[in-house]
Amino acid sequence: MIRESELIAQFTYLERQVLLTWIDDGVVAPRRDEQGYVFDPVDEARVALACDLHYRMGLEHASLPVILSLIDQLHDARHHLRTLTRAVAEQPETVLQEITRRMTR
Amino acid sequence: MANPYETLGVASNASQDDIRKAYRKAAKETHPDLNPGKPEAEKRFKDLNAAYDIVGDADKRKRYDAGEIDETGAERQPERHFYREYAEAEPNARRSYGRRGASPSGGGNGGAGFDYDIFSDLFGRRGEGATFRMPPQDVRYTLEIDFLDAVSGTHKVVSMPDGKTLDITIPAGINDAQVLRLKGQGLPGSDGKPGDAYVEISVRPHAGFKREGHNIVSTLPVSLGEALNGASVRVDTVDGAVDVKVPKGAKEGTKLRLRGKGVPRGKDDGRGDQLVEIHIVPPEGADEALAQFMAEWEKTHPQNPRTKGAI
Repeated sequence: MIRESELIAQFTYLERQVLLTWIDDGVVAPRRDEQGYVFDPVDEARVALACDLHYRMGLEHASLPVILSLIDQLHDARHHLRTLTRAVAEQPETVLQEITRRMTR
Repeated sequence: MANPYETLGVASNASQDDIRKAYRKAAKETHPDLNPGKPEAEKRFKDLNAAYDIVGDADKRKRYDAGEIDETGAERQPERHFYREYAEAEPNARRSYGRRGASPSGGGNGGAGFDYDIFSDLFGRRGEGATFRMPPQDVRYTLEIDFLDAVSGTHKVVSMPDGKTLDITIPAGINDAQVLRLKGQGLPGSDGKPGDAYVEISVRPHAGFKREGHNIVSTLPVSLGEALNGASVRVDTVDGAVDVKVPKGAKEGTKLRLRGKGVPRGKDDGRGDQLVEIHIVPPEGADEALAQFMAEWEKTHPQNPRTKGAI
């Protein structure tokens, strides 16, 4: 985990004001203690993604929360699909055949 | 690394604007976080970034075009963890994102908001039948291996993005960019039959050996004395060091052949050879005695290496 200043030093083009806006908009959600924000690896990765989208791919600030929310929903869907696929795979052969039959019909 | 213009798919005289557009279009298709289902996207995205770091910046591009920096002239990309590595973990363990102060139920994010109805629809509708058919999916991966492993073959246990592990047998003599097909290791389709996994091998270059077909080429530095008088020296092969006789009067560029020390040709067909190229290293520093000897010697043995076969 790292502090705000270390994070800003790591992303050369990231300005402090932009980071604070992102935190306000819920694009990034770092933890907070007495000395300020604390960024875990997941937060760093999310800042890196937001930087890519804004600074390199030219997305407006206003669209970042929308895009990131969609990305999160996509990841949730993939997670649940995977869980479901695992659960299905553990079913008896007859159930699998029945599922297959229904899905391919 | 490839030419940055080719990586980005633009002409070398493209405008900065065109380069930016090309980068953005390709980044959209390959950014790992925007393409969580494509494990191969990450390498392509890193290549794109490296290319864009050079020619996306007008100043750096000028220096690249002028030959002042090469394709690797850009800053090294640090080891990066993409968001997707965390995001697909247990959703409950993740953050809740959304505008601060908004009520938790207001934002469309986090695992809680996921619509399970898709699946109840999918499995619950009796008699109606679902409308899609999913063919078996082939999956593609890239695997980087050491030069020596490529020559002698090896086993690799690799964990896949979906959490399962694959035990891959790499046959001896495999070449860079060769693709291994692992039958039945892809994703299952709706008929239950799995697709195949394709693993593209990328061989890391070796500091001392280069591969040419089934031969291995290496350079052997020898002193002037060893070249003139002959010598027995230790030479590294892919099987370990061996003693090699440097013939008396060996010339610069002479190639010594070490039979059977090359790359296996495949099923019981033996191996290629190692070709050791002699490189004569002149004595270090200026030695007065040697210089005087050469001056005397050249009086009786005039030689102009530039007249014969010179360019």
